[in-house]
Amino acid sequence: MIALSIDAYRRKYAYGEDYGTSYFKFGPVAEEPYMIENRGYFIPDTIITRVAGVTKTLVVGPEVTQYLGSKEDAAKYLVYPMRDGIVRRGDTRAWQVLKELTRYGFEQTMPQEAKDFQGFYVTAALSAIAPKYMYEEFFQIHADLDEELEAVKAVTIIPQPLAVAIAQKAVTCTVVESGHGNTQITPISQYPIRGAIVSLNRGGAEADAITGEILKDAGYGDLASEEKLVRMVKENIGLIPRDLDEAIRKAKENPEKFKAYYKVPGTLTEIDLEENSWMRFLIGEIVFNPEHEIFQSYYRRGLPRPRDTVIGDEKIPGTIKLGHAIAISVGKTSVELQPYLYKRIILSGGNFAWKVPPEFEDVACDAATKIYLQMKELDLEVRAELTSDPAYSVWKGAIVYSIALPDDYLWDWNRMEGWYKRGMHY
Amino acid sequence: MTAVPTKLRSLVRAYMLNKGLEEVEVPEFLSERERFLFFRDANNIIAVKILDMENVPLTSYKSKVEEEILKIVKEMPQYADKAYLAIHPLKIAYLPPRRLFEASGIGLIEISGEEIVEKIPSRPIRYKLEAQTRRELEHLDKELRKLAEKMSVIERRLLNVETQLENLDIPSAQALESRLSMEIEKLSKRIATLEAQLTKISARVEANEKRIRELYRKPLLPLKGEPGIPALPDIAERGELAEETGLPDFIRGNPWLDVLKKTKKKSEK
Repeated sequence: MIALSIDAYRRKYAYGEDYGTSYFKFGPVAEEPYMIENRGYFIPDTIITRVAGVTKTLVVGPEVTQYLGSKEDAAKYLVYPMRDGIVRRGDTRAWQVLKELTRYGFEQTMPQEAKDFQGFYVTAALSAIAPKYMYEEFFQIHADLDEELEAVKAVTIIPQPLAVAIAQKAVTCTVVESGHGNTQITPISQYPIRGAIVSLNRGGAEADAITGEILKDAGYGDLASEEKLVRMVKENIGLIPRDLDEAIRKAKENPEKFKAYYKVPGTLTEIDLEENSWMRFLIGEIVFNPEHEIFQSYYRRGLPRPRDTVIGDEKIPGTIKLGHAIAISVGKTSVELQPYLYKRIILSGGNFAWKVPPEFEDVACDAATKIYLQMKELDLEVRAELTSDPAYSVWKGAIVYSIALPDDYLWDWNRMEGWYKRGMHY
Repeated sequence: MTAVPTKLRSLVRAYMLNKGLEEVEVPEFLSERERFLFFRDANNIIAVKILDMENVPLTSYKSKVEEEILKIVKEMPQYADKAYLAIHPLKIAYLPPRRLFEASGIGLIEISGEEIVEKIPSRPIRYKLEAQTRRELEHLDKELRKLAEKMSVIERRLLNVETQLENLDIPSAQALESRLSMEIEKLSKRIATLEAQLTKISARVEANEKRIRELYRKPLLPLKGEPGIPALPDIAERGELAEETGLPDFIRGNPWLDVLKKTKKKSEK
């Protein structure tokens, strides 16, 4: 049994923030967070907006859709502040959007009539590779908003993989987070082992790109430039092969069984890969093994090859098998710890959400099984699992952190832990 | 004949774009618009109707193509300068005579597997509009004459009203004005009452929406011991702590609560 006492104030006023590239999730203790898109719209100063009495210059949240006009306007005034979880240092407009999103969160959730409310205990979760200046900027945003709204009694920042581990109730584990543009492998033992973090320059974008090439090869070249459609095709016909060569052989022997057909809902558009249906296995394989020889011809034809990662003197190939990259990351921790890190590998992020139709179970598998199989090649017996709640797990971890971190444990820039508090730091 | 397969559309689109044509939107009111692709070549608008004749029996193949030619001749001059029929698969022996295509100006494209061949070039079909345009102009001319007549009737009636106004009885007009003012005043009061009711209703709707939002977020139970919450004596037996009661699952029994609590002690060592 866990012996602890939960502070009654923080039980009510713990607050979590997950700054994801696509969505900002926020809110106090509850089953689920609030969620809005991580973007803001800068309202242009025009005669029409003046006549309409619009005084705001920036809007976030559901209100944004009211202002979206032509594609040109959206490109000019709609700002997505993060790219692969990172905000550039001098990007003033991006930081303005993030401040407005944070303010929106507090304004939506601050208790109006609670006499005991003195501000939230806020835990913000950022990408594991977020640089120090992002921490400084986020602390400043929270300090400024506390001055305006008295909303923040204390704030701390944790890496998103740590939050995932906390939400999964795993104290010692390896978290693999894969988004659109990159994949981070973070071994955790009570805290992320920073020296062992490996970040690969690849993610869902590679699967999108190969899907586009497959569509071109199958005679749907005109559809390959529509990003949303390509993503829908990827999600609906892509499969992770247990063994790519074997899967291709079986699919070519029995094309009817492996037929890749997709009709876009609500439209007349239908895609049928016909005799190229075996290519559906390439979509899943590229996420886990872009080094397979079958992809070489695609790279020669212009498919972008994932960039290598350089850590100190070491160069990790961008096309390395994902399982082998996990082994490199875990290999940077102490030998004693490694078996425990292999015992629980947590896969998080949209790039691991792959379905396996029952009729293909002999040749296709889910992401956890693929990692298991890749690591088995290295004689490593691992246990991999998918996060039970991929959309909210980071926010949940942030809430637990807000509840449990001792009140008198203050922020330290060397440890990168602790509370940044009103009256002490701002 | 079923809906046009996306692949046939893609092949035809790629063929026409390769010829340097620019794709434009299919006109909104065109019948069977899902079977068409429209392109622009300099000043010409070119329409391509795609026919998937895969399942059309040979006995009706020819009549089907003839029917399509007639449809295009009838409707297309409103929308395009040139038109093609793109047919898959093309069975030459069962086609209407070539002169039918040439006389109508409709071009013919063959879709065979991945290959596309222009069998008969199209010719401008817009000139057929001229007779139609003349007829329409005549019709419009007639309508204009009718409107002019109506205008002169209205003018006469207006003059009549002006004369009547000049001879109007002032006292009875004033009585009418005061009656109208009273009516307007009554209506204003009713509007004000309705506005007040609307404000109250809006406030109630807003309050209810807020409650629904809160309910949706499943707020936590108050701490054990707070008024209105019954004690749960079996919690200890289940191995849970009183403080965790009512907290979401992801917090209850989470080992990190203990790990984080010890954080400071560890760092002090």
